[in-house]
Amino acid sequence: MKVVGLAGLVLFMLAALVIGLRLLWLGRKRRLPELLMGIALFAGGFLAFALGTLGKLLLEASDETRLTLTVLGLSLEYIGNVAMVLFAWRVFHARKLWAMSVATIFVVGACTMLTVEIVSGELLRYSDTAPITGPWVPLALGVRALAPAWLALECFRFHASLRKRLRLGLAKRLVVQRVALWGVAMLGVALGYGVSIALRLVYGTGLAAHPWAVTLVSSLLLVTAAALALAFFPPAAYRRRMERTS
Amino acid sequence: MAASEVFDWVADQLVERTMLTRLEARGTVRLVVRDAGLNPETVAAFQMRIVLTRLMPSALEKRRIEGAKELCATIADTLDSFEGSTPREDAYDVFERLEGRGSGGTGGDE
Repeated sequence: MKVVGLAGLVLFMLAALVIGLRLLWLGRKRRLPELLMGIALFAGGFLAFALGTLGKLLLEASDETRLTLTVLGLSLEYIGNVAMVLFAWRVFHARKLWAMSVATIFVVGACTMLTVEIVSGELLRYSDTAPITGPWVPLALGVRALAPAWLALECFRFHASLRKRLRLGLAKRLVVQRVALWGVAMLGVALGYGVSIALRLVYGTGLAAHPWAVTLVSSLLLVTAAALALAFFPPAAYRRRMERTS
Repeated sequence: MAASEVFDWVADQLVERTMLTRLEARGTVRLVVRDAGLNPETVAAFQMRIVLTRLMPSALEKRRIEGAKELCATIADTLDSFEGSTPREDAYDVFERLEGRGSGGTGGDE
């Protein structure tokens, strides 16, 4: 169980690091979608998790050290989530007012929740095993969960329309599958947030206090890592199979 | 919402060559383009050509337009002038690029 837990987390961080950096490199030529997804994976997926894990490992450290690490990690996570929402807006609904409004509301909501979490001091509950004392942690988790949830929804919706294009020979099966894989990856992240929210609402404590939940979330992250890897680095055999069935 | 140039062109051609009103023509093109899984705002000439040959004839026949197949073929032939133009970036183009090799390009297997 513990191995699955660690494997999921480590592989997710590795996938987020490698793919995030590669996307940032590709995004340097003024390609906004690549840049946004690169930020989402590198900052929100890798750096935030690395700092968050460090904060949890340093239980013996001073409150100040843990606070600094947690604020830094949490801020990066919010930046990653904002990048995800901006990606969903820019890629799927670039010229739509409602999508711009959703993105704006999310950015305002994310800034507000980060401020509230810092001011209330509740963010320390991410790095210890004490139960929460107010609604801010589950509320903030809920706000952050909206980013991958929206992106997953858009990917699945777009995948459905791409299947129609595929029938007319207007899309490559590899790309159609890639959209579905990104949807699965984002759904895994959203469900991970869902587990954390449920734990906070039921027990008040976080993942660290519930080994079964760590395993569950890590399994979800394992699915996310596998989907991202397959989408971004499709093996030659998989690529050939997709091309054959196009 | 601004439709693509190709979309506007095909809708205008339908108005010119049939009894459809502008609203009916645009509505018909919009429905058929969506049936193909395409976005009216970003649909490109090579995509519209497939739509015109594969889906549009039956849509026009349902609206009791005679000679729909020939009409669609004629309109498809007029799309050559759009071949050089760069269509707006579609979500498909972004996902086509989102891979480790960093490949680019647009379109499908047509």
